[in-house]
Amino acid sequence: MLYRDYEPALCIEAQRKLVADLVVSSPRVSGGDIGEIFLDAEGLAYTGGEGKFCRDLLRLVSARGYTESVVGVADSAFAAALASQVARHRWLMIPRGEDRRFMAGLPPGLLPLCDESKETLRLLGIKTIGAYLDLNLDQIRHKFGVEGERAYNLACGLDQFRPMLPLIEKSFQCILDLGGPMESLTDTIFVMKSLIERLVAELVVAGLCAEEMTVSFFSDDLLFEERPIRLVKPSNHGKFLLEVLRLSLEATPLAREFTAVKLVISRTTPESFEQIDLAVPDHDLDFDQHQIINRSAFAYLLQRMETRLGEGAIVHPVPEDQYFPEMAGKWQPLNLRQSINEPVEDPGSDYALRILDGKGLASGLVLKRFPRPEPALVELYGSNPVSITFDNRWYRVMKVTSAERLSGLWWEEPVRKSYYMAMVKPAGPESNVEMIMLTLNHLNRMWSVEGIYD
Amino acid sequence: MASKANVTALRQHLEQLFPGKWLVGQEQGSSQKLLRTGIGDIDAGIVRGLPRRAISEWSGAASSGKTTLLRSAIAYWCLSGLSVAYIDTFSRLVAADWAFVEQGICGAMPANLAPRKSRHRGRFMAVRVSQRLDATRKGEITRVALRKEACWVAEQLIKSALFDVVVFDLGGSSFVNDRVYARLHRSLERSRTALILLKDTGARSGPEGSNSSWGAHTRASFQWSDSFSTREGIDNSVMIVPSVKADLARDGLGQRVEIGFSANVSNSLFTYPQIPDRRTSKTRPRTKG
Repeated sequence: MLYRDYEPALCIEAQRKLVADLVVSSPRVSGGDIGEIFLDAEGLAYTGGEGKFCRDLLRLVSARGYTESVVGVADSAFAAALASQVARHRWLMIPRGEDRRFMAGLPPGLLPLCDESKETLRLLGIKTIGAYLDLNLDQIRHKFGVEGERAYNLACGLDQFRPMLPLIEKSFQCILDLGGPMESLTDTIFVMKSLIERLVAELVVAGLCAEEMTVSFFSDDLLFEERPIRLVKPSNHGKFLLEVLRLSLEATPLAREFTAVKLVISRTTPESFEQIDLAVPDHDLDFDQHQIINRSAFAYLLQRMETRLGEGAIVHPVPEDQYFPEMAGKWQPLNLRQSINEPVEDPGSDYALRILDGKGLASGLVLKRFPRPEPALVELYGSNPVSITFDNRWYRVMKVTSAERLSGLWWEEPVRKSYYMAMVKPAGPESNVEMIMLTLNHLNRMWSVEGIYD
Repeated sequence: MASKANVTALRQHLEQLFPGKWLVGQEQGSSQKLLRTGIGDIDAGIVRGLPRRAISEWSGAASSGKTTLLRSAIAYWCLSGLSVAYIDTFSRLVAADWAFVEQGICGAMPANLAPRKSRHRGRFMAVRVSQRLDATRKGEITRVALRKEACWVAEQLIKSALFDVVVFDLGGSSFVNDRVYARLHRSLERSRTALILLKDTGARSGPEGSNSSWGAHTRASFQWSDSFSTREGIDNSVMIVPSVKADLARDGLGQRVEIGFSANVSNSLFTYPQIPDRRTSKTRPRTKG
């Protein structure tokens, strides 16, 4: 059984729904981190007290399927969050004015500090938040900076966060019933243009940008295609959104004609006021301005590529912590949504660059791999290859290196291979020499040519 | 002077009649600039570098050293603050070979590669076309679809004006015909990009491999030299480093040079990879209210 990470988008959506439902308990409700909701619990003395509030709240939340909820009640939001974390029962109420005393006995690991700061506190022998509060604030500022000062204030019960009235969710969608079938791309784009213009006007008024669009096509009320299109960068520019839709339709044409179309801006984000101007003359700009413009231009390029070729269209090479030649690097997709960058195990290349000045860090010649290794028939003299047959040709081995024997990955798919670099000359009077990567798989005793050096 | 004007007028007339075939040399006197490759033998010869707003053609057998030389040039450009895009049409490149190219580290490098340092480093990016098509489209990818997408990618990269150099790896099938040449030329005219077509020729290339293109400004064809050096290990050589013979051509002039490499044996610095942690989580996050 594997533990899988939760999907943040789904969790945020579920939390948003729960926040909307909790309005019946308190008019001021705000979501915090995932799984954390804050309610204003002021003025409950005449409505049954805080105990009844907790019971009603838990009943309501349980009815929505969240049966392991815990309620913490305190003067400040941070203290209430800690109370819910350390509560041994379904709820924990901190008496009025007792936040600081309550938190003083808790471990400092609960404070919003980075791991490094927490480790420093541990080494300093600070075992409780109370001991942290005994430190001088100037010392905290000096050692832990703004983060430490904020943690200090929170531990004192000074939390500025207050639950707010929940925002009304607005949906941006348009449906157009054409009354007849439509198939041509030009006509479809024309229809899309009118839908986008309307939605963009609404987005601009609301100060929002589209992050994701979903376009649905109907044929006589039957939904036959629904296409979510994720934008590499939030935008409320009609021309850009139309271009993205056009590219999507060009890359994957519709399977049939449609009679109605629905366009939904399925995800939005507050508008950024970064300038997008690609036509600025070079000499008027310094490097930083260039960077900003290039980022915008790159966003447009990436969007075009991803719409046509799919996500991860543009990649860049990064080293990975592996010594098999074919696995010692990885093509990592470039994207402007940093949150979805795939983690790569850094082999400490900065250290290697500093120590070795880059010598020997990269391989010798450039290898071009075949789509799949070509099986080869190898004639040996002793243990050294002297001639090879592959790709329906016979090659004499002019020079071959000693084998680089590598094994590992027993926990996934075991690999035991010997790698050779060979200089070969094909049969024929005027043939040029070629450099190839020859491997012997010790698991199945099979020789292969993995690729050629070019 | 008059004869030069006549030649220019004649070239323009021919260009209208045969698009893509007579563009060579028309940029003379314009704002065109050459990108030095850092490889002394190329920069000091008749080629003097690779022109912006024009097509250069690097060809050679599938294994001929052209991509290794090109990687050195790319490392030099990245160190000079220039950005490079590589269209890997058939997704053959290995990431490890290119992982340090932005830092100017390129494994085997020409013995006379010029040193370079710049305040701003350029970027190196790649588009692996066949791999993307495999991932996004069901069924077998036809060669026609692959060619179409690769040409579209090349055009988009040039038009974006983000890259100083675009390398278009055509592999063994030279599918860029005259019309595509003309189209690429028109895109290049509105950019500052230098386009390099990387072509495999010879027995391993496809049936179209012998097609010659007439629109290239500079041509270079490569092959491994019979002379080579080795790096010795404990009981035998651990690396073979052959030289490369290059035939350079520009404006009707030709030159042959031989370029030697200097290389260090890969240090295999990487540690033994971590065994993945597959223990299941014993605690589940609790919902707080």
